[in-house]
Amino acid sequence: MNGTEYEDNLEVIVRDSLGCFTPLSADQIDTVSNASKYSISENDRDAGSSSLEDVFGYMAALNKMAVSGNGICADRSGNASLHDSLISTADYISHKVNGASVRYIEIGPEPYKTELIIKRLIGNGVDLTSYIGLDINPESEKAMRLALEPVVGKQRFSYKINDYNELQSSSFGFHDGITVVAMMGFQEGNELPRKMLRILKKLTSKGDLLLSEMQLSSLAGWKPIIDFYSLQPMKQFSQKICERAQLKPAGQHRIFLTPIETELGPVMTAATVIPYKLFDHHRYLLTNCCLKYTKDQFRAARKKENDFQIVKEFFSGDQTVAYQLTLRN
Amino acid sequence: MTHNPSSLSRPSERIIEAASRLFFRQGYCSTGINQIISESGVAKASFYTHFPSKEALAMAWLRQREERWIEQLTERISQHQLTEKRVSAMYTMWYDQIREEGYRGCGFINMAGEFSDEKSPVRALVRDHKERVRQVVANNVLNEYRPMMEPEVFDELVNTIYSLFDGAIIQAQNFMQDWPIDSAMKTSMKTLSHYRSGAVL
Repeated sequence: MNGTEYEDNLEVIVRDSLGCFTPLSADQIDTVSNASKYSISENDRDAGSSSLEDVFGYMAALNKMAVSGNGICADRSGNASLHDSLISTADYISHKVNGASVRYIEIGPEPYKTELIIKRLIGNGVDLTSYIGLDINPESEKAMRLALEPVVGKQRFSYKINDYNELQSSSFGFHDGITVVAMMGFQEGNELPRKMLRILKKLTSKGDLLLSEMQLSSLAGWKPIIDFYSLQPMKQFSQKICERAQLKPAGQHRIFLTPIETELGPVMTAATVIPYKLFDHHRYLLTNCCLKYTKDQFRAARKKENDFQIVKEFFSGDQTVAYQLTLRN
Repeated sequence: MTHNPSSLSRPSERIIEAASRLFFRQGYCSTGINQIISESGVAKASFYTHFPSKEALAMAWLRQREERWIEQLTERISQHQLTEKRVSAMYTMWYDQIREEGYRGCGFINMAGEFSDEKSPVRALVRDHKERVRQVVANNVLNEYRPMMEPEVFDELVNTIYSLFDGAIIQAQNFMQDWPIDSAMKTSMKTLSHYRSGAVL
């Protein structure tokens, strides 16, 4: 791995951080790339099936919990739950597009939050001309079609199975109106800030609205983050990622918050590692790592090269989740 | 190290320098005023003009040592952004101190040990110094953790990290080896990791 690859590789940086700042040793930890986690492997082809539907299902289950409307992440008075914040975000987008037709592109699609947003947009009278999903996981399309075709219509639904690193805004064709590019499920935390900025710049064009959801390092402390990664679907996700790497899990995943240094300053990163045994050696597989910016870091990440302008932010009542809307300059 | 009293211009500085060397090498009680006067190259009258008693000299020496020590500690800490690297930087103070002074432990604790009266101004000064170090741990080292925790949990973490850090030099002095410092640093890292993960130790 050369210097640039190391500098861009969040998994390796997090592995090294775990080795420095937790009881784990870096040479005990193996990493797996996002491409290996979410795309069809040789093993899947040999077996004639894949477990990618499960992988997608666990993430979708988390999102279903989030929008179930039972006050998740609300303040003490029950206001500004995740559900409410998504509705506020959709209402703001409806107002912001000011009658223009909207193309909705979703990076790393998930059905529940997106269905909620799109239903709200349409309910608000937005002219939604198309929905385009972009995912590296081919098994997500079926679930997304089931969720969204009844809402947007079959002709307006399309899907691309690609690694987002390989596409650019022109890959989606031309749209005479406003394009909303959405990235939900804390995906922004899956890449280092400089790499994510490069990706987002490539995937957007001048005038596009970018919506990103981020779980924050907030004054609510680290417990909400630990609690999130302690949810059963996250544990199942780690088990499945371990199995997909042809390894046998030797227990449930362990959750660490470990700091890394970035150009935005120190960023706390949630990392899940699952134990497995290789011959007689106890080892760990890093199944997930996700940056948890502070509010200021999330803003700085977007403002860094003046390619984006923050137009609106919504925060859950407990201040642990942010919805950031930015305009591509 | 060669010693040239005349290179220090002010008599008070020469006296403190000589006292520093002698107190640290042979202890407070074993060091006589005449030896300090002799090694500092000042007149007896001049000594008493500046320091009415040996205890007053000890206080002046400790104050000077504290200023320099705290300045070095905060300087080392401020060179790092990550809390965890700041904790590591604290321990480099001990490694460097051992390289420069040998396994002499903590000059403040050594001095406090020579004053059996708990109400002695020297014991009070050492307590104040240690409290200042604890505050550096809280405000300069672990401050990023403060908003993420309940106040009592943060205080507990500060006390733990402070105690590990300050205890390490005593055991290094006792065993005349570095391993207590290595061990305390590793335990500090594990402790921070536990607190980040919400675990109760």
